[in-house]
Amino acid sequence: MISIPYFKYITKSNLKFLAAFTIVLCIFLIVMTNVFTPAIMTDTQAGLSGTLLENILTGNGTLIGFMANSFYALMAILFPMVYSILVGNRLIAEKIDKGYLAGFLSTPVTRLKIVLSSALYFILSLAVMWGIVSATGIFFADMFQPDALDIEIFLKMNLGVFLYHLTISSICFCSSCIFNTSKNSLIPGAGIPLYFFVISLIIKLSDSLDFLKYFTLNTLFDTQKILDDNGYLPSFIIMLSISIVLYITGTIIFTKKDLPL
Amino acid sequence: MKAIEINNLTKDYGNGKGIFDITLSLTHGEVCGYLGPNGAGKTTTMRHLMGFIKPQSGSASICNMNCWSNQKEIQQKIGYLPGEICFPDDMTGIAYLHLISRMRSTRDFSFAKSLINIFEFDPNIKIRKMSKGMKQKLGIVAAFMHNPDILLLDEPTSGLDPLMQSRFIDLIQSEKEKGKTILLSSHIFDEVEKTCDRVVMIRNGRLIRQITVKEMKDAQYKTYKIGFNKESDIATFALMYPNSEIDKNGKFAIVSITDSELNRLIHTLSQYEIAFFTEEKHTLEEYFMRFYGGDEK
Repeated sequence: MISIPYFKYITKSNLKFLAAFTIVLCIFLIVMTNVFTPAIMTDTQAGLSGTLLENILTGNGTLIGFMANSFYALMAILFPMVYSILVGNRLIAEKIDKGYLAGFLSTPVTRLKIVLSSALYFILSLAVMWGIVSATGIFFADMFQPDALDIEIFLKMNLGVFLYHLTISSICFCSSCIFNTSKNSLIPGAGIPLYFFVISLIIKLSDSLDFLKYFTLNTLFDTQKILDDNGYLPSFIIMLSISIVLYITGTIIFTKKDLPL
Repeated sequence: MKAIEINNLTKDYGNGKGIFDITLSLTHGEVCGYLGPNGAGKTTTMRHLMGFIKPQSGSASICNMNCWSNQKEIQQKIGYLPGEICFPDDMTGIAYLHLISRMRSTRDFSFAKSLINIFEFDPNIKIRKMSKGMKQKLGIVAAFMHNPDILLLDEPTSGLDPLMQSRFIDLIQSEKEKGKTILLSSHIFDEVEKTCDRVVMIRNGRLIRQITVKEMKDAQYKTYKIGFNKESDIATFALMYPNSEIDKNGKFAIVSITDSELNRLIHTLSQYEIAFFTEEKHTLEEYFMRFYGGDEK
């Protein structure tokens, strides 16, 4: 169903992006496990009480609680999103825009194999990214603050954020399959994910803006529910379903459309 | 069984753009020139044959297989050189050729190596740093290296210097001897004259004429520029050749004739003092436009 040489090629050509974004995430996590000891966390909470930031940065006093409200609210959302926007566009639309997909399609490798290889790379690369981040987090938390990290919740948190990014990647991928130029592919491919992110920030500013939660995907990645270890499963299933639908839609469109090559 | 068969193929992009009711077939071993001005629909036709575009009506098939639905089987038989050639620029030429070769599951790289030697280019540099001509050579190697039965070549020599253009003509001739079927779009008379059996002309998305290369050569006008030393001579010459164009300053005349009229021209000119006598080269399109009323819109 896929072309191994083509899969290897796209892996190689996108590896530097995967490495860069994964390393940045790991560094954030390492710093977090190192710096945010219980004492610091209490101080920070005290210092922020009564300010606008209290809504954004409060936690339940545990390491994972603090991560949920800082790392998983900001860095873990934004950085991999940029990766997905970048790579999503590179995988299909850019190759049509620049014209060199013609060379790959003038081999017996069909469009279906090209698009499935690309989708597989995209999904696997995100899985690898979060696999490495999870392992790094567990390792360094154990090194700096033994037993401070609730590993089960931490892994569920990473599964959740992986599913969130799988959904974001499916939006970027589908857009990349639909449009024939990078410019047009990036309008929904970058626009929709960034819009979700901005809305999720605005919601936190005031309780009166709570209704906006129905207009952003970020609502489905609810760190509080994961911390409570309760009620997160439906949203995980919804994110997975959206991803599957969008990946399949993109694949079908790409195999059926006219290519200006 | 035809190697390439296009039946009533239509793709309307609106505003008169596209191709309309194209019917064309190539038998095995035939080399066919595909000529037309820019935007006439040559590339659109090739894209249909490659299965990149779905026909609006009509059909395109290669060896009796539909081009849209049998990509896998057809691509094993085709070599394609796109008109606007592009490669992923973050790899070397040789890495690209190996990648394409692996995607085709062909193990034999010897023909690729001999092509690289013929065109004298260094494939070990990054594609980003290659000139237009080098990229064109890389495209030629990628299109020919798996020894396909059918070649679709869209302006194959653009960007090549004259020496490489003549090597390319030699390559086409040797491929032709191997029995390959070739559809070649070109602007260069030499290329078409030396390689093709037949020429098809397309304009505004419609085929306007199919003739053999022999017919084309026989019916071919040549244009000569003749310089005169005396202005009085040019006036009497203009009376004998009323269709010729006379220079405003009375220095030279331009006349278009077929080869059969050449002796008469030389005879006439022998009575004058001639400053120079040169043949004006035409593009292939100009020849055709002149003949088949191509000037009208």
